[in-house]
Amino acid sequence: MRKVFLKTFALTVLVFIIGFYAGILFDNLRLEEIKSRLTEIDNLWNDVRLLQSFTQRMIDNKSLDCSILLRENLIAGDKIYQEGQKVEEYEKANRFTPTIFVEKERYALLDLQFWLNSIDMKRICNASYSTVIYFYSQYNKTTEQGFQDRVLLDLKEKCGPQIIYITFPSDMGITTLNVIRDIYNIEKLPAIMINESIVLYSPKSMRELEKYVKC
Amino acid sequence: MDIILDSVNLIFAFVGVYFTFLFILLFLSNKKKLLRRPKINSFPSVSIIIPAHNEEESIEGTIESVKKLEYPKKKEIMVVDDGSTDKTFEIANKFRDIKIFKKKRGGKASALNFGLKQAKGEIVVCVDSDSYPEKDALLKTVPFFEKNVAAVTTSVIVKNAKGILERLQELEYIMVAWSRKLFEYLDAIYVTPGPMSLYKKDVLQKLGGFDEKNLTEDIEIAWRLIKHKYKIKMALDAKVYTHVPKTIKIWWHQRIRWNVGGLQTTAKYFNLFLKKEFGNIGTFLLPLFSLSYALSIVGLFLIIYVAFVWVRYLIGAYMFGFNPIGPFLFYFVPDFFVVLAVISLLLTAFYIKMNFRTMKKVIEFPKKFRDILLYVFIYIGIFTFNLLHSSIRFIRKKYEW
Repeated sequence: MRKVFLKTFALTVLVFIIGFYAGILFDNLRLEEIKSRLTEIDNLWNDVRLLQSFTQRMIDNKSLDCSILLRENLIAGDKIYQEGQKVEEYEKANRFTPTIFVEKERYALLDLQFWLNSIDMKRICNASYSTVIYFYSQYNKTTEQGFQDRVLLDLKEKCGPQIIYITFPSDMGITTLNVIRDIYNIEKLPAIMINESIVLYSPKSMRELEKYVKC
Repeated sequence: MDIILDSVNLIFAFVGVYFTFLFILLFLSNKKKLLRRPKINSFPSVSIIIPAHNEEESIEGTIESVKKLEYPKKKEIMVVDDGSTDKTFEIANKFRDIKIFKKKRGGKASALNFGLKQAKGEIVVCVDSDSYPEKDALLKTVPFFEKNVAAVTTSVIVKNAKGILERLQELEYIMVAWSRKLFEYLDAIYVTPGPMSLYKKDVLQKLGGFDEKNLTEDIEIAWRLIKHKYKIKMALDAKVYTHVPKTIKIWWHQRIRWNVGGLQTTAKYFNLFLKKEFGNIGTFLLPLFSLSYALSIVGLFLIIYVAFVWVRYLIGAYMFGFNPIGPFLFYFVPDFFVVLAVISLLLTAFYIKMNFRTMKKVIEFPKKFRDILLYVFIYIGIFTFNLLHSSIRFIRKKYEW
């Protein structure tokens, strides 16, 4: 009789080992996918940055067609935004490979570059879109923060290219983000910054946010 | 909180997979023996006791089906009317060749003990007054009484399952009958069900009869028999049909009684926990029951917590004006728990398939996929709520029928 209990135990442990390895496999597959996507975004970003350099030169010639620049910038922004959502989902699912944090930092740096580019472009081309920057906590994910995530996602879905929506895990020790938090006096997380001027502390409803953005 | 939830999920998954494997292994190593019964040279004398309390609607049918039981020797049949206030006694009294006793209300166990004192047979057959044994049920059960066997149980089948609740109970009874047979191979049949169970009279008398304080005397006596190193066998193909509750209210009340009785029994024998010298009570039944109670209660709090999170989320959606069914809500991302869930689901499906394959040889029953889904995902879940209610009653010592 003892034999059947031991056999059962061995089988159960085996199932858990299979589950564990399958879990690691899924984690790694997701990680690889994120890495390959980040490489794609890297390329896309380089493309847009070159376009920006090209634009800077064209300003002097007064022959700038801002619409091409803005269009490409928005395409890049939307792509980065969608990839960001995927990184978030994958991060939730990954249980065995904390290296996704490294990918997330990389993604945040890309976002940072994109934001700075968007600021420049807005100034050069006198563009009308709003920038919504969301500073959230990576390590202290409160319910209120969860609500704010959802509100901002809906805002982006609603406004589409009318807003540039960028999210930053702001307590991961990224130097530039720390500097930005100091400059804009962002004392607590989560916080929302609109058009590099207004800082709102969460949670803010959809209706409240719509007062600040052109949508 | 995530770590706590993940840990609880892991424990649930481990226990679930372990017991499903246990049943599957028990089945695979004993499948040829499931419907086999020992040969018998001479049949012992039997006394059939029907305890009855306000059963005017079913008592006649029960007596008739008991009278039709095939047996090579004369059967002693007795009805013990336990203080009925309806026409149970009058209806039973119409039958000539059975003994009728009327006593003050004292509960089912007290009626059984009364019958036990009157019984002349070597084997005592207890039949509920709303149950109907098949005519060959005695011939299929009595041969199991070998040297150390003190009780034999039967497959309890739901009579006339029509509504959804009855059909779910029908599925439950079929699943339980099969698993009870598999428990036989662990010497751990934990209940000798009221609808029809057989006992060696001298053993019952030696152990002091049924426990009149326990709400489920059929669980308690089974544990007591195991404690005294007696064996309990199950005749899987011996059938007894019984009525089951048709309404949720009656069902709920019945299950509370069963659970409180189970808790009473667990508490009564808890001092044997992990003690090897008392059969499988200490080393298997008590850990199993304690674990299932604990996990059910934890599971219930988990359900409540998840429900709370969802309600909070919906309130948040309303207050902050976001769409609760967002684009990423149903985003499917496979992870470790998904792998475990899929394996558990496949094992459960295999378990159900094996169960039905065996039980089809015993009884014809409709297998509606919808009913099976309802049974696995809803019906079983309701038990946890019932168990919580029962636990509260048990703690408050509300031991009522």
